Amino acid sequence: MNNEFSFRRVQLLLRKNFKENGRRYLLMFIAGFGIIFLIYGLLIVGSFHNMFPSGDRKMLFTIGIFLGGTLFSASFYSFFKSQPKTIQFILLPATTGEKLLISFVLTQFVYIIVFLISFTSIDWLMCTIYNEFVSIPKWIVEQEKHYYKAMYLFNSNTVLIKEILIMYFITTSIAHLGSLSFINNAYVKTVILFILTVVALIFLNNKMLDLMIPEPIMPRGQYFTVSFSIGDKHQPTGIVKLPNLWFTIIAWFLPIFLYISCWTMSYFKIKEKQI
Amino acid sequence: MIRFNNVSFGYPKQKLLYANIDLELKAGSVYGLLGKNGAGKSTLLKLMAGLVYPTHGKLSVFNADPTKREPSFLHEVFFIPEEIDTPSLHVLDFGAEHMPFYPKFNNEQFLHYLKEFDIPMTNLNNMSFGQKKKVWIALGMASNASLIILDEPTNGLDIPSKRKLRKLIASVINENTCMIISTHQVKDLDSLIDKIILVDEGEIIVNTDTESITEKLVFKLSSDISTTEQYLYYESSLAGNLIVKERTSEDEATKLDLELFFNAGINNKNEIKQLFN
Repeated sequence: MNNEFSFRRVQLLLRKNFKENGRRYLLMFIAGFGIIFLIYGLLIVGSFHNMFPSGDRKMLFTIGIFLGGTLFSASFYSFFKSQPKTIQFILLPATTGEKLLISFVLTQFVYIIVFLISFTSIDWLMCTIYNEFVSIPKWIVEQEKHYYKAMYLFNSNTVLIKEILIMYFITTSIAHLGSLSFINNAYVKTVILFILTVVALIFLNNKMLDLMIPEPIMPRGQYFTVSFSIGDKHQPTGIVKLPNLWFTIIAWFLPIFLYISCWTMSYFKIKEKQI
Repeated sequence: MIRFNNVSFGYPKQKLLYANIDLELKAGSVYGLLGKNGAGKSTLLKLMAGLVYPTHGKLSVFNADPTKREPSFLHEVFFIPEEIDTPSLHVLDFGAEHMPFYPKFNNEQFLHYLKEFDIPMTNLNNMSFGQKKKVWIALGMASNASLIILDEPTNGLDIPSKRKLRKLIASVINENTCMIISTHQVKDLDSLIDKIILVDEGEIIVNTDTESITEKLVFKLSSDISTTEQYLYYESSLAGNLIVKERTSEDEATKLDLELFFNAGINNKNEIKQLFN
């Protein structure tokens, strides 16, 4: 084994990580699984004479994926609180890239795979139970009875899985960077910094446009996403809209840029970590 | 083996701890790093291991730059900190998980050292602090790293374990290995240490071998203090006055008293420095 990136060492690091943290991961899994199971249980008990609520399930799915994912990522380097463990981590003979790859694999793949499998299993199980035991009120007409058949969440075309996954990858990357940047209360500090940054960006965006365009922008005081109006509050002189191509490029560029930046910064945070 | 060339270091928002220090450590020796609390002993060790980076100057360890933390450098360095933290693993699994990272790791040695230290074959969580520390020491010695750094290794060890540690260190040291021990308990390891580095207030006061010290200094117990003789340091004890003075041609060589030498170095920094540099 030399100083170059080695997959063999990555395997060893991964095995070491699972051996040392396996119990913690198992407890986290049991707790998460238990919470989802419990909430589904409550939903099913309350729904045997009603429709099985898909909105609540979607909310549970979204909260589970974001809250669980970001908490897991933000706590990944919580061992930095312990100086001996940090020394052990830094001095373990492996490259920074190999060490980083472990957290990348665990936060970006393992968590999401485990979560999706667990959630889908619970959803499937609970929908099956509901469909088996639901009692449809007698006054419901035949044409409306299908509303009382629970659909698996991922059969629904209203779950924005692509958008959720993109947001998951970005937020967990930020949380992971936060765990490397803050030794104590990494999650809380990262969330606060994230909110402040977003608010500052929105504010600065408006201020910059104010400087660039001599007329009032968004006279009704609203924030904007893809277009904004200029001119007087009652008589706007126009609406500025980005060309579609620009919008598409920005919509792709920003998340990718943010994602790569977070992981690049994480790499250097580990590489430059001093104790 | 280790060369500090005009190295300065300070923690962020604090004044420099070390300013332009030059130091050379050679293989085949057990170095005793002595200094008061907060003198910068641990920082010096961390600099050598690449855990902190010099703010100025050049530091090389086996001709490598420790700040790069390349695997080829890291598998030659084993650092055992004063405080230790172990995962909840069986002691043998713990060894097995570290073994592949150190090319010169010898599992038989590891098992032998565990046996020497009377370590129970159980989960590390069921062990006392001292036992956990001994597991780390056994792991470090079995790694056969060229540079083994021990920060207060005898803290938490019982009296028989201290003796076994001395025996262990003596058995692993060879011409390619350098061991650096930072300790306040000088009496625990004074029979092993053959080179002394004394630091105080960011200064390297002494970097010399124990033979040079006994060649140049005399350590004596005297019932009274002579007004005509020049002492480098003296302190009173129940048995009389403990004296450190420069050795003259009439003086016979005495046994090195590390504690007394340390006190002399701290209290009469300039003269001791002049004598050894």
